[in-house]
Amino acid sequence: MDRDLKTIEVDIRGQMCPATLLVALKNINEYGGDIRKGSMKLVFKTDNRDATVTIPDSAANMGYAVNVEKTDNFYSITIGALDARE
Amino acid sequence: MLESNTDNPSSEDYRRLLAENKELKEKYGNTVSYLRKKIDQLLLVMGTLPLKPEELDDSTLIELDPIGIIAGSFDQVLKHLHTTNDNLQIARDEIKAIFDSAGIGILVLDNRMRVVSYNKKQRELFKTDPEAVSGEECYKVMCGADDMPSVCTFRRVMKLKRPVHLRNWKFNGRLYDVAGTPIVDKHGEVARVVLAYMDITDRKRAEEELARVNKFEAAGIFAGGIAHDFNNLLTSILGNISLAKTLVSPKDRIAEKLNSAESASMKAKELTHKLLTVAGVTEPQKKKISVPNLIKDATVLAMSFSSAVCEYKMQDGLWTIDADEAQLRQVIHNIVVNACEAVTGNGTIKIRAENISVTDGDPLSLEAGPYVKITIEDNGSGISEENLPKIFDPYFTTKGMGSRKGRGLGLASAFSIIRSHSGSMAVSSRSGVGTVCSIYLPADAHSGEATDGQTRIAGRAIVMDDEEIVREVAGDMLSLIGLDVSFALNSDELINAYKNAAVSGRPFDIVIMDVNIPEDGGAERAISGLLAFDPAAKAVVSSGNPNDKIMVNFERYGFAGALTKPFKMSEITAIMKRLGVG
Repeated sequence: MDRDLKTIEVDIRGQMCPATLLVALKNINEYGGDIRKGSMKLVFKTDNRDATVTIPDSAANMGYAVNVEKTDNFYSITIGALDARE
Repeated sequence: MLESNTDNPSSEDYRRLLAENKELKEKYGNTVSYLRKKIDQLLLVMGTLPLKPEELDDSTLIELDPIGIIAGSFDQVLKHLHTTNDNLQIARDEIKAIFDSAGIGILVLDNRMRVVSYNKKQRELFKTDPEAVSGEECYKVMCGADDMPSVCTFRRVMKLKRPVHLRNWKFNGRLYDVAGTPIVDKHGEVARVVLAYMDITDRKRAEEELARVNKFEAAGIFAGGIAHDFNNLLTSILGNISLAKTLVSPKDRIAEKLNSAESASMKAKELTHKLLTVAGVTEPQKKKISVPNLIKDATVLAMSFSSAVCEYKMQDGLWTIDADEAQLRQVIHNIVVNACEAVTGNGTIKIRAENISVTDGDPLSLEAGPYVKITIEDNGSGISEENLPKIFDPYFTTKGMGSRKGRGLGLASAFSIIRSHSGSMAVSSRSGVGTVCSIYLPADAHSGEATDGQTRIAGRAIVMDDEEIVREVAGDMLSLIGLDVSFALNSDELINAYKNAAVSGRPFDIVIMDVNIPEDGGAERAISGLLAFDPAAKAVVSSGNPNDKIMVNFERYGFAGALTKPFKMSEITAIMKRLGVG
């Protein structure tokens, strides 16, 4: 079902925390309305391990569903609507 | 750096500007440093690391606007918290509704056994004021004790740290199943204990009632199995005693011994019938009965050997009941005998009879309608709480065995009889205070009576029975009262003999037949053949089981009467007289 969602990818590889977090938060703030409606999701690509904790924690506190996946040499952090969580 | 052209006023200005510039740089540095400090503070609140100066230079920092970003995020965090709080409130309301509408009592305690909360049902269980239980120890408000009791669900939950069940907990005269469940905090320690009290008193009673019915059924199979053979033996014994008595003078010592033997045999007959009654094999032979007379007759007999006093209180205009007089007499007799044995010295037995109207939804499971309620109350030793549930069990007795002691069938048969009359029976008792036994019987508005008698008879009789012993005794007895007796072993023999006798001009005046002839069709086949030949034929059906369907409804099958084995001479005489034989 997620496949039909509009997805915005933000590549923050090469950045350190907390700058990665600030960039992530800025995007979440900007697209929060659409994410909550369930019409889109945000995917952050990061190679910073701290960010795999700070971004999900903050997004969860803001009431989003978060999923972290490790691919070859980076992490994908997906932010979606809470109700759309599996 | 620029250096001085000292006398030049513009140099003065330049120096001042330099100083101002330095001051401004310092102020800017302080402001940025303040901003970094506050941003770090906010980042820490967000759960992340402080900003490193090398990561973002001052101008990028201002451009990125971290405070604006974090403020936006906080706004979302707050909105989410509000939504979560609203959802929590709904969940709390849901739990509260379930909590209060639950049919079981729920009590929540903290880990020091103090009351935290409880539901509406639980309020009924507190021994103290429900408004003042919060914060009090459970044992004070529930058990009314000063200390923790030895059997305590809370204590077990705290010790085992897992759910526990306490079954059949007696509390305030009722029975409960108690479930204790721990609520564990994040450190694995018990923070709360939830106790749920389920009242199982009514369920337990229903189970006991069912078990009792099952016992009756088991007794029925047993009793039914032996009744037939036992009664045939008794028929022979009683019949031969009756015959032997006619051979000796009533003043002879042999007659005295025969009377004793007859009396013992009659007791054996009563015992068989009691067994059949307990088993529910017997259907009551109902007729209209006046309750006061029956109660007084049965009571006087039951109290023959007692020094207790009996007080009667019969309602004027008491309704009559449709019942089996002998069975009901036995019920009253059994209960009054028990009452007499319970009272010592100058005890009092109060017997009341009154009209009552039962409405739908009666707790005794009676159908709506008019009833006569008979109450037999004594001020005797009472029945212990432990024994009370067993009093209707067959073979349960506290009287010990032996002569004039109990066999444990008195109340069991009374209960069975009342049930077979579509009535109900309840016993309440307190040890050392006394016992109240209440009987409810469906009532009627009209009444009637009946009579009995005996003489010597002349005429012809034919007896159909497959048991030689029965044929022999019945033949002797019928001969003795003056009848000319023939025999038949089965339906064919009977019908042929009856036809031949009629054709020869010496017809049979009376036919007596066993209800059940194996592999023959029995009395049912015989009577239909007989009536087909002679619709006016007088036939009496005979069986050891007075509650056999043909015995109870003999008229419907075409019989003129029914005779219960073992029979006495007086019973045969009476039925012959009633049928106008001889």
